Amino acid sequence: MIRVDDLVVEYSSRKSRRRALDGVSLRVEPGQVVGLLGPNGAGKTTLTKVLSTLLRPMAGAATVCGFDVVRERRSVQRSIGVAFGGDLGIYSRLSARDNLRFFAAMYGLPRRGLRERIHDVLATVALADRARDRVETFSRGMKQRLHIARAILHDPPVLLLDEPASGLDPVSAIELRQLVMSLREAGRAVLLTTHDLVEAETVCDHVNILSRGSIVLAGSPAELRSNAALDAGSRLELAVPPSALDQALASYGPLDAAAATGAGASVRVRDVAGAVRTVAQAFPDALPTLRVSHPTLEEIYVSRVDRP
Amino acid sequence: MRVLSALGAGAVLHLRVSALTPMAVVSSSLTPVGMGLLLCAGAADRGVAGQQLVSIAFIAVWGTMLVQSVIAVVQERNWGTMAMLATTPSGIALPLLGRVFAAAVHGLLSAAVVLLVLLPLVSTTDVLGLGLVTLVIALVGYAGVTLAIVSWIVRHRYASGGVNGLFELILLFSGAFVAMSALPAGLRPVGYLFPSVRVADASAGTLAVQLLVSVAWLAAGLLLLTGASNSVRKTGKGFLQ
Repeated sequence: MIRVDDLVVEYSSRKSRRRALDGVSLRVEPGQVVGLLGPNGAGKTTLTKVLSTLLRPMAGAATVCGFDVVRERRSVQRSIGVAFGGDLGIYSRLSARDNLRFFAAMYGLPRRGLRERIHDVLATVALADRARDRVETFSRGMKQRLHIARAILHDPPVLLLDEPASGLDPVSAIELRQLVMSLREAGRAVLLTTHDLVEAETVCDHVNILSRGSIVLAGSPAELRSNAALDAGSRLELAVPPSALDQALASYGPLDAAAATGAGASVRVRDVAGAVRTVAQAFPDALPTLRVSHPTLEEIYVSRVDRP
Repeated sequence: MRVLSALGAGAVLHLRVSALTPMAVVSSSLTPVGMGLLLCAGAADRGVAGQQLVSIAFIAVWGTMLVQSVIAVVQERNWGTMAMLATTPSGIALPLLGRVFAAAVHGLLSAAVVLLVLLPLVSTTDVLGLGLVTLVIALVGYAGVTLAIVSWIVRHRYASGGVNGLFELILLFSGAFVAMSALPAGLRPVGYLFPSVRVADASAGTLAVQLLVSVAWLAAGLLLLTGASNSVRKTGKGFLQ
């Protein structure tokens, strides 16, 4: 559905030239949600702009449903639904229904059946009862859902969602994640740009972490966590003194010295299974207090990205 | 079909977001009415000729069309809707042309108000009929001129400030108040590039030429706007900033 190969984008001015994307490659298949994570300025929105035909790349190739984003722009535009999120991109003085009617005209949708289509799409995003209300009276969560309604109006197989949950309260964010997952179940390919690591972990089948225009890490959230556990180790916490824990685990070569915690001591090890067996033999009475934690996506993210 | 649909949707959108109300029509006719009254007051016979009425009606339409179209572009850019339009198969040119046409309709309604107020003060209306035909043909071209100016604003984020000066400069070349023959010799060729609203220039042959000039401007305006959109895609500037 989406193929990106060695994509390069540069922004240039009279005084300077900045590479926003530097050899990015990725794939998004039907029925898959692929996340793009990264700090501000990492290149996430630039990649979304290229795929939505707003920006031409300097080098590399990008196709959507087999159509080239530069040479076959119109075909790409018919194949994608775009939601940039936030308050921008919709007409606040129009109602939800009139916004969709306007964009239906931009996609050349036939008038026959349009009323039903708009109703169905608004029902999908739980806005059918507010169809006639002006968008300026909507909450942020409702506006985000309207963005998605607009994106799926012409029934595209590919969705590009740029930070759709930005600024939402927790309940609205959960509702939006459920909506994104339902779009995946409908077989759409979704590229999701986000800052929200919980969102990436909950919704995405595959995550790409972008830093300074390059993908520095890619894989499913589970793969990223297990790979990071091999690299950075997992943390063992036990209600024993730090020195005793260091002594017991000396043969496993802990990654750092045991540190005191409120409940006892904690240490990072790579061979979690061996370390747990040793600890169980050395401190059988403290075993009920044993806790093992793997690196979170947040820890992985922080360890891999550079702020531009 | 999609072209007409996008044009129509752009026009309806404009009338709705710019709130076309009787008050808006009257308020955009105030300046041209004021100019007409000034002309009447200055005229020896307390009246204005048909040409002057056409010229004042032209100001009502051209002013409304230009100002509202510039505001439309600034609105679309600031609302982030222009970027959304650029991701659709219709692009930005068709809906913006629809908005320019809607602004022209607003201007024509204001021009009607202007004529209603000024007609009782006019001593002669001998060329008014021909003048209105000339005006309508010229306005097709000025829609293209407006698109050309709009394309400049699409491309350059802070260009809208220059529009005030362009309004009066182009008024000079429109033949509304100054005949081409009265322009300095060096400026006349520039004047002939613009559609004329001067009734004295309007014979059957010249009207056909005027129509060609107007259609050429409309085509050029659309091309410039499409070109501006493509340029923004290359640079990431303009309405993408």
